[in-house]
Amino acid sequence: MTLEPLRLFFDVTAWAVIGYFVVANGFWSALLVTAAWQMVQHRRSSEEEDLRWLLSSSVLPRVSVLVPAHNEAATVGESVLALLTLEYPNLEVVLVNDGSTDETLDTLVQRFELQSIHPIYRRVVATRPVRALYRSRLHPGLVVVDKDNGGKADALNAALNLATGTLVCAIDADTLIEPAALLRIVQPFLASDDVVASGGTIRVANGSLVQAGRVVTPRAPRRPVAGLQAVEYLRAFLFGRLGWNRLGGNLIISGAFGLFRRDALRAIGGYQVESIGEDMELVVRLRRAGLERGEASRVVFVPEPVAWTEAPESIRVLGRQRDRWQRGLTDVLWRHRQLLFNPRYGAVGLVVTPYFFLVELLGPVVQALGLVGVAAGLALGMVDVQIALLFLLAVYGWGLLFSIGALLLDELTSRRYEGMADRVLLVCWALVEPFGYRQLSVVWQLRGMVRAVRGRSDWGEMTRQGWRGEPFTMPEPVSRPYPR
Amino acid sequence: MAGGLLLLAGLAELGLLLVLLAAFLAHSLRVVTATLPTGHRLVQLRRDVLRAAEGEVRLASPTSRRDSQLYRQAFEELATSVSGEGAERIERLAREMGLSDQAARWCQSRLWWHRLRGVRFFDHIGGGNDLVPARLGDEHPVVRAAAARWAAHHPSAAAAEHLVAMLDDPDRHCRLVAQDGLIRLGAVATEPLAAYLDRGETPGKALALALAAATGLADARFLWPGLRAAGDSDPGVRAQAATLLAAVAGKRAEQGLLGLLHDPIDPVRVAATRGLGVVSSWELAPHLAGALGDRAWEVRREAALALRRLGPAGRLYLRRALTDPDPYAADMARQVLDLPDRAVGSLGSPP
Repeated sequence: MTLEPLRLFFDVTAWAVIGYFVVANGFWSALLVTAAWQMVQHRRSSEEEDLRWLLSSSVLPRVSVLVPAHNEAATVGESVLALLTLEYPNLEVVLVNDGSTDETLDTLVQRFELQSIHPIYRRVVATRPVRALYRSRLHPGLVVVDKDNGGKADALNAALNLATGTLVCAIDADTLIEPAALLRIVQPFLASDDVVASGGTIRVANGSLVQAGRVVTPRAPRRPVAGLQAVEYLRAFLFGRLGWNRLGGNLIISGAFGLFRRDALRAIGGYQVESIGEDMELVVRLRRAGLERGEASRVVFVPEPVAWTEAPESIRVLGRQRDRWQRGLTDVLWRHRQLLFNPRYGAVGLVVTPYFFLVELLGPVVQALGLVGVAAGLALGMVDVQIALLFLLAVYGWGLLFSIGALLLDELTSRRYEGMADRVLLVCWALVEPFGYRQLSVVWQLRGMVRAVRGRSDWGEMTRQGWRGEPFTMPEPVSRPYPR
Repeated sequence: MAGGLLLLAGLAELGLLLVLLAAFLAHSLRVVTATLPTGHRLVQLRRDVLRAAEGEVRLASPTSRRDSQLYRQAFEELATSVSGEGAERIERLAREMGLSDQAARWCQSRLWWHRLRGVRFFDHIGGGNDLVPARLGDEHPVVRAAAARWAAHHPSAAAAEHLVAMLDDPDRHCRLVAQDGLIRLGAVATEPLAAYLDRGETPGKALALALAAATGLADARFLWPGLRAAGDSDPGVRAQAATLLAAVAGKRAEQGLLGLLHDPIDPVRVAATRGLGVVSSWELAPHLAGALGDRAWEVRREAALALRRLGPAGRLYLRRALTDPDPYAADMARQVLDLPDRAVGSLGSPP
């Protein structure tokens, strides 16, 4: 008799959690359907498209690629060479040596014959002191900024001050960009005046063959931690971000590869150095400033331009990364809490920000509550087995559908993997992802939220395997004359 | 009841999962099994098309839909790699093989992506003179843009007229493609573009694009439209007019640029100063030296760089500016002359 209130509590909690996930999954389903529709349109309009005409066009805006580098001596040479040979007619690369303690600068000076320059530029955004500026004698499009260490955001701000392009492309030093990616990511800016930023798909490169700073043979990751992330990335980018194009616009452009209007970035003061989620914070501030001033504020995701990144392969490093991402999300939503449910900001205030708050930020809390509650309720005999099964169906079964849906979208459009084995492997990673990995992610995200509340703002040590183990040989000529 | 619902939900999810999985695996299998033979077939086809174009062999007709897709791909790849007589032969061969007829049918399809495919085929292979111009007025912007690219490869007064008309297109991409196309057309586009600019009733955005295209063509015929645009109410148009006047050059153009040096809008003065730098006449040095004291940093920078480009006369004015009572002018001169701070005393730095 006395157990009845407790049973009621468990039942109510379980139904509330299930209801929450039905609503959240409804949201994701809407994103998936919208993304699939856009994919079809994208595929139709890009079929047999020849981008070569753009290479000889004089109307393309100048693009400055901003590359922050800190202790990248082993790979910086090849990375820069790969950037300089990107297919884009009006390109500048601004690399910032952010107080490296290794031979990053010496490597660059020797390999690209850097010579000191004294350009007249304006420090629109304050940064840590700049020691020297260089330009390559071999590649005049390469400018190197040597400055005191100030972190990634500070390095990007220093590059932003120097950039001469109408558009700036912010990337990580270890991002591997596909040759035609810039020609594709620039398309939203050519199609519309009100676009301030565009982003492309980031894929996990672990396991792929990398030569001369390019992924020459894409392969699905063989190791579990990277493999699970490969599925997660596809899900996040192919329908998570693509779907938002039609449902109010994106709030996130990956820090690994994004294109921005330079003047819009300068007008808002560049990156926030003290923000832990500087890439998301920048996009939110850009959109907010545009909406407040009645200026351009559209952020577009383009599925086709692809950049590759190295995902953490150790659980510990991955945990630190997810912890930081969640701290970043918490920080950004707190800084811009005025957006939440604010009709002044239109869809951003009424749909996008509430989604990020309720689903992305609070999702792990509700999921943890559901998991613990269902497990405890089952153990105490307080929760009906059917309710527990319904919870699993709502949280993990539906999630699995999204993963397979994302793989199918990828297969129907960009289709990077050549063999059947890679595709089957990805399906396997998708099938096992809900068991263990998802729960671990919840733990990391909760830890991140707690640390955010406590005010912790460090990045945590991030170690990467790097591409340096791969032999350097010139890539084989591609059989197709140009990417279509 | 709850059990029944649960079962239904579970079965629905499982069913959907199996459908998605089956679709994924079936599509993957089809792609993987088709890729290798397709690759070999494509290589063979390319070789055959080249030999057939030389008249050495007779090319067999495509036997299936997939085959015709491969033929199209092989033809398009080859056609975009050759020009002149070789391109003509490939176009002729495509006609003989019936590929052009198929593309012609696509051009008239009700489905926009079919029309797009047809227009792109003619853009790559050549031909379509009687069909593609009609697609410049297509209801779908992607098709219009593809047709504009085709027009840019077919120099004629009519093509130029079409592209000029497209500068008013509601779609920005179409307007850019039209601008690009006019520049590619070269001399043949001068007359229609000048006539368009002479009309004087062009809306702001289209006018700025037309002026940008005229800048690319840099013909003396654009002098008067440029001078007229310098007095436009839209600052974007005035800035573009400054760039055009710099490209056209000459005494009248210089006068126009000097007039724009006093424009109230910063970007217009920046464009005018940069334009004077492009003209690079030593007689302009005093005006550029005056611009060193402009309130906008960008104008001061452009003026200083323009003076440096002028050579000895410009350097003389820059050295004089080092002792200018205006600290901003002196600081900019110092930076351009690449002198350390102490060389000009404690002038302070502009904020």
